[in-house]
Amino acid sequence: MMEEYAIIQQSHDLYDEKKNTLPNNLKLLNNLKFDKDLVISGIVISGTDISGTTQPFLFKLEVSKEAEEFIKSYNIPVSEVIHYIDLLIMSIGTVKDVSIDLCVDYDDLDEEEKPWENLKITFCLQDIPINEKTEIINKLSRDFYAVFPDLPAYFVVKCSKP
Amino acid sequence: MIEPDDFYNLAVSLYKDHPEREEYIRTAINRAYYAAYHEWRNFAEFKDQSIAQKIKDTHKLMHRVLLEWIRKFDAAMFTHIKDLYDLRTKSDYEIKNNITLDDVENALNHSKVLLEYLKGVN
Repeated sequence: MMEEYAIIQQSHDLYDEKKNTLPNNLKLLNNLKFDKDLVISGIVISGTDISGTTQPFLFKLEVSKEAEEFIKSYNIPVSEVIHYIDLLIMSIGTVKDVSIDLCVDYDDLDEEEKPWENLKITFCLQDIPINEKTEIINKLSRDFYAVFPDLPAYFVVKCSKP
Repeated sequence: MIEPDDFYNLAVSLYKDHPEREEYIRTAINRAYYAAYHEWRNFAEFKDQSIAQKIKDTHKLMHRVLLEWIRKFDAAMFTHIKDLYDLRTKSDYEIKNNITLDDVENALNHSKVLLEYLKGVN
């Protein structure tokens, strides 16, 4: 099925304010297919940071092979999950990088037990207050489970420090 | 007898008093996790009596059983406790991986959110 993914790398002119709008970029993102490594990169997204300033930044989304296989094991199309994560993440503003990995826990296992597997969705945000961070995590988690109730997943924010 | 909140308060003290000492902040993350773990285990057993037996029967998997229960109860709370669980695993078992102040601040925040949520429910 990997053949269906075309290699696409697109970017907008950082300084072309007419083109570089969030709706334009969302439209672009929705029309994208993913390359064979399930990476979207080089897309410039306009976002509004905490001070209310609109600024462009590069967006990158990566999905590991293990995560892809895990999603498939639930008979859910990988592209559906990724598109929905795109939409969720884009809706919160200035996100730079998103990685979708598989978290496997071997801790506290009996020999016959299978490891515990969860989709780990990590994203980078501009510095935000802790209460806003909590609100974002809560919203993303609940929205995601409303659409994919059977797919074990959780969100992790990695905020950069000044 | 101590309450889960006491573990959380200890975690905050360990971090605030010794942010430069790795052994203190690793212990703070561990206590932050167990504060949330015990409070949510009490809550889960109150809401669903079968969970107590399940945790007892699968002692080695007790964290997973409880966290899965939380996932079904509230996805957002699962996200908080799973990341907190990962941080606790890192701080307890991955001695060679650096623990950062971000890690301990995230752990304390997750624990606080998890404890405050239950105060709102009860």
